[in-house]
Formats: sequence, structure tokens, C-alpha cells
Amino acid sequence: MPKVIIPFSCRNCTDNQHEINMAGESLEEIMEGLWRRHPGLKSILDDPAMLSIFVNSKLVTTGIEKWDAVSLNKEDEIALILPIAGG
Amino acid sequence: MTSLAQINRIILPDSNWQEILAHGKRKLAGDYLPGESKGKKAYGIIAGSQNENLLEVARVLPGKKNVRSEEPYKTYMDRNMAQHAVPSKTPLSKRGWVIDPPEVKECYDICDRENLIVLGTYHMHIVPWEGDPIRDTPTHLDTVLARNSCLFQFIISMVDITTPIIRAFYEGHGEKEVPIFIQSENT
Repeated sequence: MPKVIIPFSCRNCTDNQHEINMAGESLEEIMEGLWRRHPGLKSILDDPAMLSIFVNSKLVTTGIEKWDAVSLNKEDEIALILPIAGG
Repeated sequence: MTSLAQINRIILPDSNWQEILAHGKRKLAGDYLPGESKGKKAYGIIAGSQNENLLEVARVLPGKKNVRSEEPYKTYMDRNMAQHAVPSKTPLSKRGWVIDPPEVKECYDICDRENLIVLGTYHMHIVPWEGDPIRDTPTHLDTVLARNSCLFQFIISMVDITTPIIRAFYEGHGEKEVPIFIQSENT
């Protein structure tokens, strides 16, 4: 089952889980499953267009437009990275 | 583990403080590393360890590439600038920074390998403002951008590079400051 690495700032929405195994064959399925299981995540990741997603350390998408096009294998590791920004 | 919101003291080894200062001074001098974005902006990630209510800094991971002017970050930053930035002599389009996500991922990977946690981010303020000549606190925009980060925001005042200041604010909130103790390695 693909494994999702939860950003530090979102772990209060996942009972402090750092890694979550999620069933799914595409990034879209995984992310929708993640929102369903941990609805608080969606409100923290309030601008999904700003979310960078890495699969096995490779950047596959920034934003939501390509989630359905990213197919996954059960050993894949998905890392969600939020932007780090300042003024 | 206690949340970073409960921290009441931060230990910053002097060697890490000197790294941050060297980063800021290098950028101010216009001395850039290969692949590093130009501009008088120094920002990065601070990592270390937590022991109950104490944080100990162990690593400074400077940001190199600023993607503030690339989409989708440009739209995000322009919107936040328009809504929250205090006007200053620097045009809004030239203000702000966003660390390139692959660099952020690399920093997180380093932390995992070295069994460290990300404590926060740092960036410098260099331009004095009317009514705020030292600039050692987060701006309203800084607070907005650090919202829900669960991290500290370390503000480096380099308005006067002969007397730099570092202060730490949880999620960039001015009222959530935690004292920093700069520790010489010989003590």
C-alpha cells in the first residue's frame, strides 16, 4: 500500500501520525482517501494548489491539476511538502 | 512529544548563529553561490532537537533558490502581498521569498537522516521602517505566511549589520516569542 508522509504542521490532524498507508492506484484516489480519513487535513492544506507532491523523492506535481494522471505502485512513498515562505 | 507551541527556551550554538550571520552578510555583499537566487534575501530552515520544553538548534539549512516569481507561488505571494504587506520602499513584486520545494524536501530528508526535527525558518530584515527602525519582529505578512506552520519563525534583524539580532516567534506571532540563548561551544 502506498505510504504518505504527513507534513509536520499537519500531524495534529492525523493523531500525530507521521506516515499513513493509504489504498489507491492514483494520486487522486490517495488524496481523496486521505481527506476522507482526516478531514482536518483539507482545511490546513487550505490551498491545494500550493502543495508539492513527491513520489519516491521525485517531484511529480505542484497543484491539483495532475493528481489523476499520477499512477502509483504499492511500495511508493508520497511526500507532501507545503511551501516555506516569508515576507 | 510536547508541541513546539509549549517551548519556553531555545538554545542556539554560537557556530549556528555565525552560519546564519555569514549567510546574511554574504547575500548583502552580493556574493552568490552557484544556483543561488540573487537578491539581498537570506532565508532557510533551522533544525535541531526537542527535550520537553527546550529546543536545541543543531543545523542551519540555507535556502538557495527563491521561486517567489514562479507560478503557482507568484499568484499566492502577490495575493498575500496585496492583502497583508505594509508598503515600503521595496516594490511588492520584489518582496517575499519561497524556498524551492525540492530544496525543502532535501532539508526534510537531511533531518530524517540525522534524526533531527525542523524547528522553524529564518529570514532577515534589512530595511528600517518608519516607527520600526530595528525590524526584529515579524511583519503582519510574516505572521500570515507562518500561519498553521507549527514552526518557529526566526527573525534576523540586519538593519545594522554590526549589531545583528535574532528573535524567535512561534508561527510568527509577535506575542508568542520564546527567548533564545546563544551558547558558546566552550561553555
